[in-house]
Amino acid sequence: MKKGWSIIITIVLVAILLGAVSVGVGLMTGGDDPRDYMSQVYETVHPYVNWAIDVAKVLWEAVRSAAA
Amino acid sequence: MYEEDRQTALAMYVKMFEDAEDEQALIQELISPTRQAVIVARAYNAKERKLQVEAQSREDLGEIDDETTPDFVLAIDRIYQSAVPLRKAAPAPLADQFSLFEEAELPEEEEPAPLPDEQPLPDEEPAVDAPPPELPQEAPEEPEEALPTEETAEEAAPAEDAAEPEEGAPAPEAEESPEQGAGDKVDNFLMDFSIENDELAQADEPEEARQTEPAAETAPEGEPAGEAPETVPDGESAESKLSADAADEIGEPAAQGARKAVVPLLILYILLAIPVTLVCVALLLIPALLLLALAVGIISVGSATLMGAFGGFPVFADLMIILGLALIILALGLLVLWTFVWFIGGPIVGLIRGVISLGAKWCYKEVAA
Repeated sequence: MKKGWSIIITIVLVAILLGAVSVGVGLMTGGDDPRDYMSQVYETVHPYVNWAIDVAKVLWEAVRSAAA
Repeated sequence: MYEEDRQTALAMYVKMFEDAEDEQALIQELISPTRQAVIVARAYNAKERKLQVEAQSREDLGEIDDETTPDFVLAIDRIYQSAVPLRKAAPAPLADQFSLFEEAELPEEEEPAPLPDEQPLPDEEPAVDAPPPELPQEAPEEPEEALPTEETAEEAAPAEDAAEPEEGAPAPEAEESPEQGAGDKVDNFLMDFSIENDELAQADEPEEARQTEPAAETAPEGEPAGEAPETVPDGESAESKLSADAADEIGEPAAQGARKAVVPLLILYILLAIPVTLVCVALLLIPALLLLALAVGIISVGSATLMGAFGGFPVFADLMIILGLALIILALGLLVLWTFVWFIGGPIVGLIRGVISLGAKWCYKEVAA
């Protein structure tokens, strides 16, 4: 498990670094349209995110009541 | 078997081969790696060795008379003492009889004797299955022929083995080593097993059939004289299976301690532990499944972003931004997914293992055998 964590964190850090570099390069070279695209993606995902948050709240309340 | 003791045994066998002047003869003396593995396994007591942790000069194989010396070392040393002196004494007549210049003469003198009766090479395999009346004629001839070359010495061995039980030839019996008594037990033990692909399997045949096996089994084991390097792996594989139960069958006392279940306590523990464990697992599964849902959601968004990057952005700068974002989102999704895997494999599996080990600790107790 410890080896798995080290591998995963390494991959994640490298991917985030590459992504940050890509975003930085895109912004510095005049990219602008993705803001609209990402807002569309957010609008698409937003209901599911709200649904997941509501489910988590319900489960949390159930656990709290059971513990009490 | 402890690694240190294994190395000791291997070192003793290596020294045995180094001291032996005729390795082929020594291999015949040892008969088979499996037999040696059984001998060592019978002489090895792991619990006793645990108590003898103090360092011993195992490399000095010359005099082994200390009472604290492990039994398996003594067993190998007995084999060493019985096998190596024989080999050292053997070359004396050979040096007198043969030389590089006499080789051309000797075969001419000795060839006419065996050839009129039977050819030497076809005798090897039929010797095992040969009918009893023919064996007395072959047995006296073959040991004499075995001396000139090593090959004939190897090939004559199966015939001798086959001839022993039936006619009781005096010459092979006179060479029996002092460990023959223990060797008989080993032979009796090996009779109960069939060896296939370096693995021992207990034979289910009746005893009548087993009594006919030894001659047939010892003959093929003696044939591959070039198997000396395989002594170690064969011994390991056989010893790992035999050390515990097989050695006990031969006559060693049973294990000193045995774990016995306290049945009422075990039943009570199971009745309590199963519901509690199920509740705890269910509680742990809730956050685990939430993590899984979150990971799936994040990876879905990342995949959608990545696919959209190649669809509607002709400008390279926009493409780079979208690719970068997709990469970051997928990396976060991978992290959450791994957290889910860790949650399943760590706390939940650990809880179940802990409950089982706790039950083994509470509900089992050691009882002296």
